[in-house]
Amino acid sequence: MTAVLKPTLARCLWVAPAFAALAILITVAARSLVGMTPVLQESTLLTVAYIAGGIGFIVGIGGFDYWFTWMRGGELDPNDHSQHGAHSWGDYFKFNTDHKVIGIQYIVFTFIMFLVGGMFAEIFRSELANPGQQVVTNQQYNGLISQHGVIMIFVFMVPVFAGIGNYVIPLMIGAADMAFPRLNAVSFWLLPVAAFTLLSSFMFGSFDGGWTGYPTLSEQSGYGMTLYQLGVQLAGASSIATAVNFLVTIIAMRAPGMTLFRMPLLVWANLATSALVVAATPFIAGAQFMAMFDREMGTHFFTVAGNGDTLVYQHIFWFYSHPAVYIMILPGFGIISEVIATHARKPVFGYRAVAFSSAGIAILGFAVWAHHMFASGMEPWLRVPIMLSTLLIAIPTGIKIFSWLGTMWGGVLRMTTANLFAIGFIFTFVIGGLSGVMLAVVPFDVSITNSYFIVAHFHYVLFGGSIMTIYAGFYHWFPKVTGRMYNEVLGRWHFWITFVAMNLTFFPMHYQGLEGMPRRVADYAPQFAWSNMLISIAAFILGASTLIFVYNMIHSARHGKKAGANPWGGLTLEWMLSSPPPIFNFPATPRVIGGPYRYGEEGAKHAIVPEVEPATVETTV
Amino acid sequence: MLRVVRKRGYDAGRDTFDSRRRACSKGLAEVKTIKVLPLAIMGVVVGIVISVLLVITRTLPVQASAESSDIDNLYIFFLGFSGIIFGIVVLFLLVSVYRFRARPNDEREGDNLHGITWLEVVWTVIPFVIVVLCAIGGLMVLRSGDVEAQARTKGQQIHVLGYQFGWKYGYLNQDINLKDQQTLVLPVNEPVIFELESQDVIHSFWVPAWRMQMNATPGQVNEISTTPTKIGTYDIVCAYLCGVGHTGMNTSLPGSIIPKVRVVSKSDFDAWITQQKAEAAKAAESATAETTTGSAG
Amino acid sequence: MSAATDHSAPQIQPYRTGLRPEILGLIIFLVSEAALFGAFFMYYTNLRVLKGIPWPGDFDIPADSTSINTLILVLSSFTCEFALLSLDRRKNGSVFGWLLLTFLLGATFLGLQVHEYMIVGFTPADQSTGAIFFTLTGLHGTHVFIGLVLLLLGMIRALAGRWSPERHSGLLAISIYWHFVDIVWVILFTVVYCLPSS
Repeated sequence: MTAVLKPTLARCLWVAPAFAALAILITVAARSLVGMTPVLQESTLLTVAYIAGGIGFIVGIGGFDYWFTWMRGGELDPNDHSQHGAHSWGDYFKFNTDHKVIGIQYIVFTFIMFLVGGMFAEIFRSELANPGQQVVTNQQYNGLISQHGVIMIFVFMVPVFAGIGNYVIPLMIGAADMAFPRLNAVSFWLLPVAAFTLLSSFMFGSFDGGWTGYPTLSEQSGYGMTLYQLGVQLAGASSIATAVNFLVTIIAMRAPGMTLFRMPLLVWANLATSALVVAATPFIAGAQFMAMFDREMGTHFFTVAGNGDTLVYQHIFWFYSHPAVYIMILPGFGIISEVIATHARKPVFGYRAVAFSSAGIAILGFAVWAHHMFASGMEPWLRVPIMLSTLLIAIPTGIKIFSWLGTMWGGVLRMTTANLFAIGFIFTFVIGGLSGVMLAVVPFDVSITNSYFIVAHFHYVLFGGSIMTIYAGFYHWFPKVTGRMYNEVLGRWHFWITFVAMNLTFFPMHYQGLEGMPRRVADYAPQFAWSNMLISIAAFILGASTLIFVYNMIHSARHGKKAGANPWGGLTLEWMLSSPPPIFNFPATPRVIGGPYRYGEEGAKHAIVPEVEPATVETTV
Repeated sequence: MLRVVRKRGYDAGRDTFDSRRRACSKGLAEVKTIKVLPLAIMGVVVGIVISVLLVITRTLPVQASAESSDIDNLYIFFLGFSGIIFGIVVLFLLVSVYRFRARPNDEREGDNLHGITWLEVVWTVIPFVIVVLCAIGGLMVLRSGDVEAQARTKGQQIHVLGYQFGWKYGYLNQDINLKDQQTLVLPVNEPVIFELESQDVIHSFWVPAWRMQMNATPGQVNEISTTPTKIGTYDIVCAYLCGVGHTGMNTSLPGSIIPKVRVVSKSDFDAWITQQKAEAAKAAESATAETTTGSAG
Repeated sequence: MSAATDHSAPQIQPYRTGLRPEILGLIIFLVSEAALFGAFFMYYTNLRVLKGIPWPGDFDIPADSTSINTLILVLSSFTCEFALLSLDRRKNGSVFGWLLLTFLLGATFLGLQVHEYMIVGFTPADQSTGAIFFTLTGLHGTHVFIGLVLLLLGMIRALAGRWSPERHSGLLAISIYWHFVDIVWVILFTVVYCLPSS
């Protein structure tokens, strides 16, 4: 009963609606007081309610308690660790400041969102299996593909890496936690708010402008579009807060002796990614903010009627959304470096090149946004410089691929599931990267942009790229997080089915696009019938393979063979702690004495953790 | 009673790896005996096979414009280097997995090799050369002929209005405006410049056979030019999500009410233009006739 | 009972940078806020500088009167710095005083901006230029408002005696935020009010 008064999810059930109702009341009252029509547009009131409700949710979960105390000048106790650490499974549903708890919260929540987004895909793939309309209407179809994209990008892909990083990075750098644990928790809890905003738009007919939400279509759509615009801003806020945390943690809290060039490459990757997030995400927030104002406040940012400029939305949108794709792959690159080095028992080949290439991709990533706009009618002179910068960005990416090959060559490859996914990643990501190089070239791009060739390209880099790295990371750190080993046999089945099904699903799409099948359509010319049937079947198998993974994770977490502290023999700091690690990680600050990949070097150490007092023997009377 | 309290959370034996056998698996000498250069050459050969397969299986629409063959050749070049790079990568992957696989209960460590500088330079420079070639290829195709200027002086200037859900055309140089869903007819081998506008949302005017696509954006006029080189009818596909009817805004769908574009001989085109002008004049006459009778009545 | 097996507190973390982590975090956050303004400046530049779309009606943007606003805000940055200086010299009464002066100057700025909103003669719904004018200045005004709230909180904590030269990072944070708000305004004023459109 007292749960509804203490900071818990139960309390959110009444606090969030209370905030929403209060916001509506204040808006209506304020309007009446000033003499305006109390309720001019219901959608505006709904929007105000959603925003206030979101804030209320964070208040309800206890996210602002400490700050409220600070604000009223109350006494603060920095040694109050009551909200820190998982002492029971219930803690995972609360506001908890332990980076390991938050990491797991992120991973589990975003993975559920992955399954939800995948479900949407299966529904529209069932529509696409046959020509003609069988399963959903055009409006529903447009809503499904839009939700699929937005959920996958904003509530799965970007935050899942935040989750993996959250868990692993403080351990890897020898820190007790992140720099701002409370902010970290708020970042996580913003995600369910964003997801709720996006998914509840189904009640209002969803949003139907794709994940890109271009005006002027966005101005025509039902209320669901406003929720898309709001949800994206919320997810962006979560992302920025996490990035600030990562940056300060990595810059300020590395263990003594861990110079920049002794950092594991996952840390490098997250450093570059977080810089990207901080500098780029506000641009999409701005774009959605303006588009939302056009819808709800009658402004004319992007409408023709009021001298607005429809095209500039695309510039502002893609100025974030291109760096966004690097945000979705760079941490994955870091994971692959860790997995291959550890499972091949070899140092990463060309460590500095890989580190610098992460930074290079991050910086160059700001100079290529307009390659999404070659056919948009933008100023023609912009196309060639963007083509050149886009071609250039292939170089650092290629360096990484070759470095990973060089890491494997001459190693001792343990064909664990994690390693299988890393190897499979190289295979599929190279395909996606090569199609990307083709798309950089303007005349070719213009001939097949907005077709299934593009769909093939980005699914190869996102599924064959990012998702393979995510699975590799899950399998690699599963023993550390749960203290148990996953089932290798199930892992292999998962890998091979995923790998084959993924290629069968997305490779034919290249051909479809070249032949003239556009994207975001529910029906197609008869010549595409057999390929669409093949793709839909493969997509269902791909979806089914995920279930093997889910079963493996849940079953092994409870009944798997106990893993020691270091089942893979890794050298980085997280493997020097127990599995799972103690609540406050290290008993004392570690001291880093060498690089993180000193495999093959007799007696080499990456770091030393000073011993705690030895096992005590005590007398009880 | 004595109780030994086992300390949890920190494994003191783990700060060194002396507990693992540290013998290196192979020296550099042994790595070199797996001749890398022949393997790289084999990778190129495998890659060429893959490229050839990709080129043979390519499915492209008919080449119906002057630029089509250029763009298709560019694509063949892309397939060429892509296949080769992919072949090299996959061969090294497979050989690594086969040759360097850990044996069961294998406690060896890998080679303590942190990098080979000249190799890293090579695999930076070669991709750089490839992308420079791509850039050159792209620039060559972009600049091939000044189609736009020719279209304005000796060709057709077509106004295309995109709307939800169809296209409406006007011949700017002939002063003819077609009705909704009326077929666009063009003469073969004459440059055309399209001036694209939209009256509602963003659409995209894509003719795959011409390898040509450009958005129709509300509030601005977007231009794109091409030279149709083959007589025939070609599909027009709206390639930008424009609402509920986006799926149907595709002439290749069976039962589509949107007409495809027709490219005809010059003489047929002239005849068609004359016919359109005659019909327009008749329509104008009957309209004025109606207004006169209307005002008289 | 048994000795703690899970060490019950984190190790004392040494920080690698001279800057306190909170201040570093604030600065990085302000980079993201600058990027947020950047998005709107991107829109503004495209509309007014590249395309030359004029203000609604015959609106003549009041650069002269608004320059007074600018001076007031710049002055408030100085008073904010004096508050920090007073803290270093342990003059706690002055801290409150300077913060109060900063608050009053900031509130005056905000009031004058609101007054300007009422006399411009167009609304955000009037054309794209109206929209971006109100959005850009409004976004800045919101930041000023938040700054005023922070200054108020700073004053409350000053009264409660919570600031000292050793525990001043909160006040430093407030003042860095306030300087940020000031710098953004100077840029905004220059670009929107002073630069002629093409």
